[in-house]
Amino acid sequence: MANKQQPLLQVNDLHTYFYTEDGVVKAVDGVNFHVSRGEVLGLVGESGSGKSVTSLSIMRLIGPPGKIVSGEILFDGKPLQTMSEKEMVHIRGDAVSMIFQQPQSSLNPVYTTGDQVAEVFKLHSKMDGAEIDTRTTEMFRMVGIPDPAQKVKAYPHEMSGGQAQRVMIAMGLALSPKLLIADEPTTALDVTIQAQILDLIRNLKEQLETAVILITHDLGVIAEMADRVAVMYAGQIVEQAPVETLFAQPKHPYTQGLLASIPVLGTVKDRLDAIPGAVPNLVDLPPGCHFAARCSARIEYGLDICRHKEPDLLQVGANQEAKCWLYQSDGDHVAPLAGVAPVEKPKAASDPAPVAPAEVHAQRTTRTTTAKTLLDVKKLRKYYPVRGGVMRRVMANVKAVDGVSFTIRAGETLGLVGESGCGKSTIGRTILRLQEPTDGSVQFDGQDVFSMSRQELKGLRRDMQIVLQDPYASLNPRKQIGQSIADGLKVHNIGTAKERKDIIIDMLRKVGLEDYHALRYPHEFSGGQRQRIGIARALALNPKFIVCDEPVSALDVSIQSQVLNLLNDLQDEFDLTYLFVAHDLSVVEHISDRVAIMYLGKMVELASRDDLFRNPLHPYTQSLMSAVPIPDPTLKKERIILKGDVPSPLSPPTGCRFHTRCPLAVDRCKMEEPPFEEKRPDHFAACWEVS
Amino acid sequence: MIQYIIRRLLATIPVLLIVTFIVFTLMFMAPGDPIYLLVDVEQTDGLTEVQMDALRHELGLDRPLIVQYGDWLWHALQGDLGTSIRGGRQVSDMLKSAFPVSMELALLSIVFALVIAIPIGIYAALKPNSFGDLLGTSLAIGGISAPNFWVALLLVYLFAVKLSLLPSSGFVRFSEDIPANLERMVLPVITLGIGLMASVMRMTRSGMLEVMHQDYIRTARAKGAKEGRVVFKHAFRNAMLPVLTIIGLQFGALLGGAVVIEQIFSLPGMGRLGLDAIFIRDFPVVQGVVLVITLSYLTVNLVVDLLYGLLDPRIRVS
Repeated sequence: MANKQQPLLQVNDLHTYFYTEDGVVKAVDGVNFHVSRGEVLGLVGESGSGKSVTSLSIMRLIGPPGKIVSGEILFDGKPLQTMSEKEMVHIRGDAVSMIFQQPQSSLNPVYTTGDQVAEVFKLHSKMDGAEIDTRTTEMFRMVGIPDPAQKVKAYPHEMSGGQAQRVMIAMGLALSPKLLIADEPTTALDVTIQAQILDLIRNLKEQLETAVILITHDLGVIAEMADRVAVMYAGQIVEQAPVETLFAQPKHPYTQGLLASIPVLGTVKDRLDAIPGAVPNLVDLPPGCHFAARCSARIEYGLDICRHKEPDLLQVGANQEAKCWLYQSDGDHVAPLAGVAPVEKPKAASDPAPVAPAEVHAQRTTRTTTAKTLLDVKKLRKYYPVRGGVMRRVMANVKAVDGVSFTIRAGETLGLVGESGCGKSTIGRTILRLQEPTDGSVQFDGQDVFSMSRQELKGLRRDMQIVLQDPYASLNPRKQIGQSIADGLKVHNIGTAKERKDIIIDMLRKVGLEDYHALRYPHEFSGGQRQRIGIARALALNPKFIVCDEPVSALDVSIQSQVLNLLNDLQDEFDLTYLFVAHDLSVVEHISDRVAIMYLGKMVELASRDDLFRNPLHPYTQSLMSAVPIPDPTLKKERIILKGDVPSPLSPPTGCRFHTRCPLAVDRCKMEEPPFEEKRPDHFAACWEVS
Repeated sequence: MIQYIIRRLLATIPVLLIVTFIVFTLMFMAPGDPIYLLVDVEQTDGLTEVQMDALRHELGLDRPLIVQYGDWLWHALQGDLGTSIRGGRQVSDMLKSAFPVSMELALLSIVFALVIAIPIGIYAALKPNSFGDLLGTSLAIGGISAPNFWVALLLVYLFAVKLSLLPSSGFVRFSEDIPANLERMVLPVITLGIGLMASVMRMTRSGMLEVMHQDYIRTARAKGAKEGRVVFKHAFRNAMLPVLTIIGLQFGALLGGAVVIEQIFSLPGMGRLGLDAIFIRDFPVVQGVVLVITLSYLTVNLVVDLLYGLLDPRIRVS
């Protein structure tokens, strides 16, 4: 029998390498950790840190060209690394199970979700068909899928992302495993759905006494869920501590940098403390500490050893370990390096400010509110027809944007927030007439955008630019980036070839790139650099107004802050006006002067940033804000968890569109649509229950 | 579903009209008067212009193109495809006797291609760049590159002439003697199927390779499915979708190939019927053959699209 004292999972000096044509990628390079029974270990890191490879190694699901090179994986005392595939098959899905990031693509599209959950019982138990059906339906009920008896017959594409993740959880927990590995389980989901799923995982884990390895890049999720945290960087664990300790006294410079670089809801800073550079290439890493190249502490304390020798993971406090030369072992006594002052904890984590007090907000003044209106959007509608029947007639309309009005003043940033499908990106594109509007009007700098001819529109496009979400897909892979930036200049006949070259170089410098980058191709750049190129391209035409469509959501946490800082600097330098479209409330709060909240094609609230975040009026805004996980484990938030999914924009609910999920809904909300009106000075909301 | 089928069937109407009209026009413009081919040269010499005009008039060949086409269409709609210029047989009867031969050839070729190609394709995908994969790939590229008349001659030489295992040509109806029919079908089917086999093999390989990297395959493994189950239950059905498309598209090439194959093996199918008719400018027969081939191509593709929905619930039409 397994000893109750020993940890459920013990990983010792694990090395998993990938043998690629470019060389050996040391994805996991000497990792040690353990998971105790029933505990939640948070594994946090950016992309390429090796957190997913670590978990797949535990499952022994590393396929060629990858290989577990050395190390020990003891599960319940049994060494998994030497088990045959035949033995592993009985462990996977039974004693250890796993759920993944993209729930919809993680389910097989050609089988019903019920069949896929039932398969777990088929594989690991001797139950008969009827019993399996009953258990499957039971699992669907347990994970909170409405109408489980019917939903077992649904195919993955007939489910929302949140429901699909519930199915994955049902599959993972069907046989009450001892360990559940959750690899970014909520990253692809909207924040209100994320709150539901995290809540579900927490409850079921208690109920089934399952230990969890929670892999995520989101420090907020970690703070909320984890008992203990291991921080990974470039294939190694650099710090390990109980969650309260880690957020209160991070010891490793990387952890400190990470905590300082994220915008925290309710805490506004002028600038984010970005970690310079990018995650290193894991092929041919230089000797020494993997983080040395980006480490500010190394420079601050003039440490030379970091470049030559790799530090050990040392005990640096009660249950806390860090892998850094700032801390040295003297026999069995560990102390900070001589001359190293106790490292101050970063501000972000030390200000326990959920929905913050006024003085914190006052740190960064919002831009002047007296400036003239640059963009005036009135009753904007954008419908997408759905055709059907023999004659392909228009059967219905997806009302992506359904009567939205707002203004943007010159020089300010309007943040546009909402969950997927609320129409926020459509607004950005329709304003630029990248898509033709269905109805409404847009005045830009006094000109009517929607009545313009193609020729007039071309002139206008100089003043209105867009930065797109996916920096990988939005640059032509066959063009040097200098050419990509020059395209806009050529279209508008700006300058001679020589002058254009100067503009390009100037723009590259402005966004923090080098002159010679102009001759390189997109694949030679990292995600963060590509987004800088996207910004340079938009900026080259010297526009007045830029639509930033989720510009940082595809980027790693430490890169996100670099780009946000850049956007802020450029706005001041070039007097730009931004429409900043995003789903991340913390990011929007950080960058915006005024903020608008969208739900199902309608604007539900609009106010100055401070008013909106300090005193949200609309119940949707309130629940949205309460759903955002805050990177502070000491904070116990009163959470409003919304029920169900966002309804289809094909047939939105009558009356107030939010009434189906609203905690305050009364009968009137189902019948009549609330007007979008000024409830407080300069604070607009659409709700019957707010006076 | 029913609505979808109706819409697809309606969509075939313009295709049929366009195809038959183009063929009609081409035949009309092609050099050579069917009258000359109809009667022997010596006899034609004996015919006066007047007599020939009378013959043309009798056959309706002196009317304007559009009138002739309209006339043909009108009768075709009533199921009357006319009579052959030579021999005076009902075109529909000729088609009825030729169609099953070609269909058998085409369907058996598809079966042959699938049975050989899919296992090799799967093997190649599971062990990419292995010796077996390279062998399969070479076979596939060879199969695509080799002209089928050459393959036919090679097969005949080997199996009929050298080894005397199979008859080299000749035909027995399926309805008359099944074993004898199948025996004579082996070589034509292999010849015709080889090209399709090659493309199906490549498609299976690339389809499986892609599917095996999907997230849901990782899920299947993570829940403890054995590798065999992962491959055949979780991956296979998804990987078959592009293969189905290829079969639909290649069906046209198959019918085209049948023209040559039927000549070589003297099979009385549609290809041979059509080719003979073109040589003697037998308009009604050519039209009939084109109509039937177009119809079967459209039908096969409709069936493929419906099968698609059966395999993949995402494409199922509501």
